[in-house]
Amino acid sequence: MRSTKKKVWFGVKGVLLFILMLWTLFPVYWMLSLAIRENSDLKGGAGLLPHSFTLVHFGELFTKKGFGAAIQNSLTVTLIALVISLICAIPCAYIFSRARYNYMLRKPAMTWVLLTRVLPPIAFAIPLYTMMNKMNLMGTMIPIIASHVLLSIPFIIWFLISFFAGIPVDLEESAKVDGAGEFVTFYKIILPLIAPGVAAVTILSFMTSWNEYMYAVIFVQSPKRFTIPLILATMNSEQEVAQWGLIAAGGIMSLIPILIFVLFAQNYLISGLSNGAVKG
Amino acid sequence: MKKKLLATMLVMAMTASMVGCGQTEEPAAAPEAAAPAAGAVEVEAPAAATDTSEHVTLTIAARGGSHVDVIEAVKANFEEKNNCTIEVLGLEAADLKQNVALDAANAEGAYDLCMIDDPVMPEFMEGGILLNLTAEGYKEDEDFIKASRAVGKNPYGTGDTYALPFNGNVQLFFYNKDALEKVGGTIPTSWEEVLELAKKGKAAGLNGYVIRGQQGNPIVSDFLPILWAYGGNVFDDQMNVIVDSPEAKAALQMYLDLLAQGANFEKNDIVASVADGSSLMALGWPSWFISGADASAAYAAIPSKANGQEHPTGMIGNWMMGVTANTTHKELAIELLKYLTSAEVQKQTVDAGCVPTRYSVSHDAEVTAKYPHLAEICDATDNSVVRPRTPKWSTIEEVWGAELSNVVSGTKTIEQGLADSKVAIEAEMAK
Repeated sequence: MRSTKKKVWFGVKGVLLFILMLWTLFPVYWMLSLAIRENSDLKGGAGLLPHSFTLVHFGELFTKKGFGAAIQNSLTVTLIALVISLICAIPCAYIFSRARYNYMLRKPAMTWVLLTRVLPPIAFAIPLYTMMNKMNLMGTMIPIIASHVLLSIPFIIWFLISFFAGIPVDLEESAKVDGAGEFVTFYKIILPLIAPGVAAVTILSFMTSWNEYMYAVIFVQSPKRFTIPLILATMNSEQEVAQWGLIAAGGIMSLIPILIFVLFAQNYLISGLSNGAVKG
Repeated sequence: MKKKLLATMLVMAMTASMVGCGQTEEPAAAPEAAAPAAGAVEVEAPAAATDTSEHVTLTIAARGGSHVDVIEAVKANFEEKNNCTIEVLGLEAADLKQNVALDAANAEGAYDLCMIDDPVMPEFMEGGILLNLTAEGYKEDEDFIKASRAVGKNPYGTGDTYALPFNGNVQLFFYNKDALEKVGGTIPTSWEEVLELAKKGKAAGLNGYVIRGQQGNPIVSDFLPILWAYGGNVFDDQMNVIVDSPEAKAALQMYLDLLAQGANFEKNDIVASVADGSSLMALGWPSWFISGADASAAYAAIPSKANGQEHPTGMIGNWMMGVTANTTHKELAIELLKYLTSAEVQKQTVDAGCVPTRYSVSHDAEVTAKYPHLAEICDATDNSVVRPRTPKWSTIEEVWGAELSNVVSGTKTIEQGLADSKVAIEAEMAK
């Protein structure tokens, strides 16, 4: 009786998992399938399986749409924003997590960080635009990088606070007894212990920045600085029929950096996400 | 190990693609006189009317798609003659409007020229976003199609010119010829005939008529011609809201009756289904169905008769181009605008997707031999109807489109939906 129940429950879980897998993986399969079909196979009732195979859409992406430059721009913006965000946010999270750092603006600072995290990004678009304009920065990549830093820092701080809080203070006191200063304690003792958390926020911030569209469309004023989301948006013009093959090929190409990241840091991501959920 | 190998291969593939195909920054030096790039069009650019000793960059905020291709095809000659670089920023319609509006607040603009969708013209002209070309000495060119010319003026049709027609567009009635023959029908001239045809189409297993019922601009653009055919409109002559008139109710009932014989698709599916014959008829813009000399569906003028009356129904949808009021290169920008909208450029760029806005080009023997539909678009434009001229049209489209969509989806009755439409539009107009 018990083993029958177990089998039934196992079957139910299997079906649910299958549906979930289909729901999440089918769009990726469909995108790949559209990217490799000829244009004639993309019109009206396209079947589940492609009836043709071509790589011409991938080629046209780079020869006609300047996708290579868009990849470079996306990488530049994403990596610079990521580095700045990590450098600023990790020490911030550490300071917020430690009660001994008790200063006058501690609570307002934490509230400000939370506010920035919960408000919708569009709320900052006009103020940022005005600021960047007044500083004559609109012709550069600085506005879009700064906007991505604004998105990433609050997220990294709030994510890592629980990681830092989970590290016993005794460890730091032992390090101090051995003669380590604040920075050495933080850099050599504490930071390695939260490596999974850092890896997790790195991947998640990278993905957020890589796929970000709203700030890009506001702050990019030259076609030479188009990022991948902007280029992909121009391929779905209301003026003509959507170029599904190109859009799908662009989507596949934009997946590659994220896939690389995840392949290298997969284990860290999993342990980082789960550790953060338990501690704190 | 396998994962790392796969990741390494992906990195190498990405690096190769970026190194091989990435663009590099163009030097700021004046371009050498050289043969135009492959695909560029040879058109005589005007001799420089302004001081061209300093190399400048002109930026055009353009609608993404074929418009960018058209500009890219001809800009080289202008760049060479005027010692300048032309950058074309192609954006989606909503993003284009947003970016141009944001930049308009600056004393010195990032954009020198911008494209504007015709229903947004009142908002841009009255908002001071566009340069008054008449005040700058521009003389009206009557070779532009009259209805298109009128869109660029403030007040509409009679005032100063703020923008020139860059790309022609007028809604047409599209149908699948084979499917029409299959059901034994002829091209309808009234909406009652359209409905009868749609019923025959449905009986034959097709979508008799497909509507574009998504909220906002899609459903408003799709419904307006039918509303006009019934003698209805959004405003009367005194700008009172009349969307709940008996004519509007009759038109919306017809719209629902047509939907009952077919389907509600978005643009790409409308094109695909009419092209492959699974749908019989739909309204649409020429650029959806016609690419170059090929058309994926047959077309005719939008039926103008309904309920025993006849009214113009072809909705004009030109893309205009103007000089931004805060441009830092006014004279050169005006010259570029005239160049891009000249008869010579329009004639040479029909191959790149330009739909001419000039009588001389639309009826040019060489052009019509290859693209016969351009003459028909010109004639349809001459008899077209313009959407209401109010700077609040964008928001009116949103609120009205939401109510129309409610009626189409069945969550509101026709009476309730149109009554709520009137309230919503009046609220927008009162703001």
